[in-house]
Amino acid sequence: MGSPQDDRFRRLVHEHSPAIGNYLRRRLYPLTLADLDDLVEETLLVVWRRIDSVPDEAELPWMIGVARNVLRNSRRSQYRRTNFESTLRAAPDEPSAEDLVIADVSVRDALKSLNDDDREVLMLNAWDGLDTHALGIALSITTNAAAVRLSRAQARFRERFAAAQVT
Amino acid sequence: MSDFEERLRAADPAATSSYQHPDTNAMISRIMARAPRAGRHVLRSFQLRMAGSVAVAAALTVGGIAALEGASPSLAVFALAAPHSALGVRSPTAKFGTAEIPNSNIMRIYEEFDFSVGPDLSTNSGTGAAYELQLPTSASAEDARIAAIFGVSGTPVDTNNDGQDFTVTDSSGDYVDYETYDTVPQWSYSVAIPQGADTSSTTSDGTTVPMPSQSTVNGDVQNYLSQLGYGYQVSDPQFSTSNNVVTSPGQATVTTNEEQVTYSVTVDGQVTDQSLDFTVDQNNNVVSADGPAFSAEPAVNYPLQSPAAGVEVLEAQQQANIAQITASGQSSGPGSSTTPLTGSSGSSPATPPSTAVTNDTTTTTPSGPPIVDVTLDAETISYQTYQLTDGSVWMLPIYNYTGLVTNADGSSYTGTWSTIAVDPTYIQVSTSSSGGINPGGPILY
Repeated sequence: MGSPQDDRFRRLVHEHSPAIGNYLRRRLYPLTLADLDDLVEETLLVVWRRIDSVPDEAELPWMIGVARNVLRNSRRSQYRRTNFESTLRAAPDEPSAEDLVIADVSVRDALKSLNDDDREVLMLNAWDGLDTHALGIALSITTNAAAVRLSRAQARFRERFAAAQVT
Repeated sequence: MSDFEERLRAADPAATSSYQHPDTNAMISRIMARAPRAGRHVLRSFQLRMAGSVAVAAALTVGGIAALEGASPSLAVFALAAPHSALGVRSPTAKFGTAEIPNSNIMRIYEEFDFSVGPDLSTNSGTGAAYELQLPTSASAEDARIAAIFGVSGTPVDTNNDGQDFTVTDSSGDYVDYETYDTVPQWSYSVAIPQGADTSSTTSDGTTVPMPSQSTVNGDVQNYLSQLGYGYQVSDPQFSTSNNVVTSPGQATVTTNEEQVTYSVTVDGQVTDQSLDFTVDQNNNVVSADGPAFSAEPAVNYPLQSPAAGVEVLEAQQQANIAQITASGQSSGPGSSTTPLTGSSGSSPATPPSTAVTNDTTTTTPSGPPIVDVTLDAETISYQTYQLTDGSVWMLPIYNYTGLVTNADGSSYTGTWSTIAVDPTYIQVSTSSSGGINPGGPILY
């Protein structure tokens, strides 16, 4: 029988690792699916080290906040590595580009036209299922600020989506 | 719900299949074993995936701890912290952020190996150097010091609020990051990363321009190494150039011409498991750089086991692994969701083994994976980092063996495996109770 923290960590992993994996998978570029398991594990490693800081009422958004940092650090370094690595070795296990593409062209084009902040808050709400309170925790901002950001992002997306459908 | 909201939700790339880790319980065990919340040095989880097959004195783990009476009273015994000692050889040419990219150096249990000694391996033992490492005592202070060297102004920020990842970022976005997750701390510098990567397309067809010569870049590196003051050297530079053309909607196209170089970090001329990277643009401005933060104490000579004896250690470890798998009823053969990979450096990818193997060189364990005969017939020496139970960090010599692996379908690849070269009399391994981790052997998934 482990400590309460041990038990809590195991429950967190079993309950939320799929959501963490989905969060990371949607945002892997320029990393690849081959890196996904490692990113999940690195995220959960941080969660384990800071298990006492995980808020009871907002476990998933807090963990997504950790995953954001993990992904940021990894993508930042991978950007430097991409061309150099590609000259060293082939990556036969990398998925095809279609695996990482949003199938709905209008949605994809509208999302691509947004800035990083708008796109992120939209995706966190629409795909990761975070309401404004959870958004605030994941983004380390107030609930009101999250509500404002989401509203503006939705408005911009609506405009771009409509334009993408016309063209 | 409006049409755009419905379409947005329906476009979720993860909607068709939710993520599932291949072995959640094993991952939990690794994390909890690697990162006790007591707060000692923590290893990046994906470093585990970098491990090759470093058999740490297998005779000590099979049948108990070996007698230490043969050790010289003037030489200390290396009491390895077992989870840390499971780290194998890190390729100097592969990095993942400030840690390592999981490269092909992943020994998953998809096939077992039966090692034998090739005729060219020496049976003569000798002596070799071991180096204790001195590491910076304050991560934030070291981050600030390195930031000053690279001209990045600012105050170190504890990025993950854990005291192990500090970043100085200046007003233009240039930054220096310093992390202590690894056994050897890692620093990195980069100019501001262009934003909007998700919306940009990047090609390599930009205009080719004259780049700084390799000797110029080498001179830059030596200048920065001198300022960093760690005292290690670099060798075996691998150069490449690239033209990155980044196109973003509504923004000017940006072309960056870069020259990159990766070095092996050496101590007293010996190749270690550390590497240093450096990138400059066409105007010889530093774009990025990263490397380890350590200084090596003067060498201490230790008796080594012969290369031939090292193969026997590897073989004993493999047999112990097979016995453990068989006893636990685990199977990581074809039923596993993992992708079969080569050994440390494969000349061609391994093909999935069939469950019933009738090859001359393979048999099958009761629980699944085939056993492949491999004759190890060449070895080199390099240095691998280990943390001891007293918290000190050492670089110890290892033998790196190569051998030809023939798959059931007749395809083959050259694999590499490693073992500590120090005489096992001077090695003590702590047994690990963590599930899913096999100290000194391949990582079990």
